[in-house]
Amino acid sequence: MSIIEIDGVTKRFGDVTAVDGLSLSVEAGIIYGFLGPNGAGKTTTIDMMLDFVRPTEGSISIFGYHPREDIKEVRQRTGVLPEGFGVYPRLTGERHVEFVMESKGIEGDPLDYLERTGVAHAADRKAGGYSTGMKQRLGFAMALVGEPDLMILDEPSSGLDPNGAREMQQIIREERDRGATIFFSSHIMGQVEAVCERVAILREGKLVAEDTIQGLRDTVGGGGRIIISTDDSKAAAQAASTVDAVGQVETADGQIRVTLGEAKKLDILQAIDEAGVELHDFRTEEASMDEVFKSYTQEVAEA
Amino acid sequence: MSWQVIARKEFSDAMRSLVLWIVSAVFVAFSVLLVGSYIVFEGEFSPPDADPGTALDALVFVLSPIALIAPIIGLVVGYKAIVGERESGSLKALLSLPHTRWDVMFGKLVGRTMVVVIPLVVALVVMGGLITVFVDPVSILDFLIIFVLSVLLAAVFVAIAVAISGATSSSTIAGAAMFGIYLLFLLFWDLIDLGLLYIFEGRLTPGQNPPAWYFFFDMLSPDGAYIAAAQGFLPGVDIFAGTNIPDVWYLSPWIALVVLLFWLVVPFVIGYQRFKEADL
Repeated sequence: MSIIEIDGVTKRFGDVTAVDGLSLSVEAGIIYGFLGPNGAGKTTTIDMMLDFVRPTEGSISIFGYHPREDIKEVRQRTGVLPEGFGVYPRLTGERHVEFVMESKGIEGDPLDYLERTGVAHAADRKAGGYSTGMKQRLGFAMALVGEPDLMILDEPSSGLDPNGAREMQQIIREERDRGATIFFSSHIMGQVEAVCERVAILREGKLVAEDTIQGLRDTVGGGGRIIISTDDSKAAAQAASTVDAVGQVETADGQIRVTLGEAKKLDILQAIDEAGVELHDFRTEEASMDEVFKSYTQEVAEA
Repeated sequence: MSWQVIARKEFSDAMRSLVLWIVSAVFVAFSVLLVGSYIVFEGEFSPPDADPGTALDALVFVLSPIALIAPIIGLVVGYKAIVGERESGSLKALLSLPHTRWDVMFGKLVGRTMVVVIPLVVALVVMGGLITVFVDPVSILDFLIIFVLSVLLAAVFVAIAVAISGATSSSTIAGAAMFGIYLLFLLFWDLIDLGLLYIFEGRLTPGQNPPAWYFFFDMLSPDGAYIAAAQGFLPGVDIFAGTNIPDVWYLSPWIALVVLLFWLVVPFVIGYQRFKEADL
């Protein structure tokens, strides 16, 4: 069953098209990464899912509900950490969580949520004095209230140190394990890669890829790089560059680095061997997800 | 109910605001000063053969200052209600909870009106107490009429402020609008009324027998309606001493009350329509 169904959605602000014919669907019970550089239209899409902004064209359904007409049904079952989450400076952290609990009609101890996200020690302090990271942890605690079926987290790790980001990823996995669906936006591939089972990549308001992490890697990377040590790197490089469909060939410190592109590792090794150059050693490097991300979001799509 | 949760949050938030307490303290101090000066100087300026001042005279004496100050407090308390949250980024968190935009606006109106009512109650009780001790016992009915009308007046300005707060995306614009609203109702309205008098009657002073429409126009502003309602509902009061109020049906205090309700509801509904359709 799909929890989020976005169908041909376009949003224009005056002359600017923030989201352009976006369609995607998110299955229940997975961690879904929504990736794109800043300004790609991620927040606008999330804003439309929550009825902060209305689509110019197309339709969205959450749990089969309309975000605008069935506002209470959608929001009752959804926990949200909005982008640029701001606190009420005069209210304590505990009062923030309590307010969410009152709003959703959830019983319990607000401290349990703050405990989980690591800000319980500041529960009785005014949130205006919190650091950026603490505010983010508070917002995350608020999103966790009442075991929501869907969590929408817009750049959840902004303001967090690497440790904090890892703690948050751990909680996100726990939430998925209890059955929640998590929709997680980020402009940093590394964070999405660590937790997400499926990823959509957005660029200039358009969906440019939608797949599993491995699927994306396979499509783009072709297999990364091979690094070869030889006595005669010049001859080896020359041999490698004759292979069909090979990528870039660089020489440095007696090694050659060959970006594979569509070529096979074995063909390259064979070509070097046939050129009579002796190989000392070689190793392969997978394309990093950052490179995968860059290839989708920076170069003009060749297709 | 959703709006009640928001009203409660608004109230507990505002009660922690230093500005609110300063405004309240100034308001209460001002009231004490006002009633005190009435008590001290009342006898000084009246002719020797005049009746001694009554409690009602003293209450009426404080009406105009309330009509000047309650709007300021209402506007100050209300104008950041929504636009402030929009700018700080907390509005998205608030609206991602099971609250509609109506819940948010209405809850804020109720919560922030309560915030204005508190200093108003304190000020009125202090004034009533002083008058009872130093002049005459205040009639409970008179006190209640002034109390209800004053709360209504303050609520009108909170409603206008929240309406504008929901209709704009910049608190600077909202602040400027508050200033404009205040000037319009508490300064320009009277000037316009005088201008109309000049156009239609060829004079710049209302004199002893101003036309009925002159009073009616004055009554169309919230503070004018407040004074007109007090004049009509408080038995034996003559706020417009020295002028004859024409005996026409539309100068009834009930019409004044309708005017107050109009200002309470209509701008708020328009502001809500804007907020409801806005991209946040």
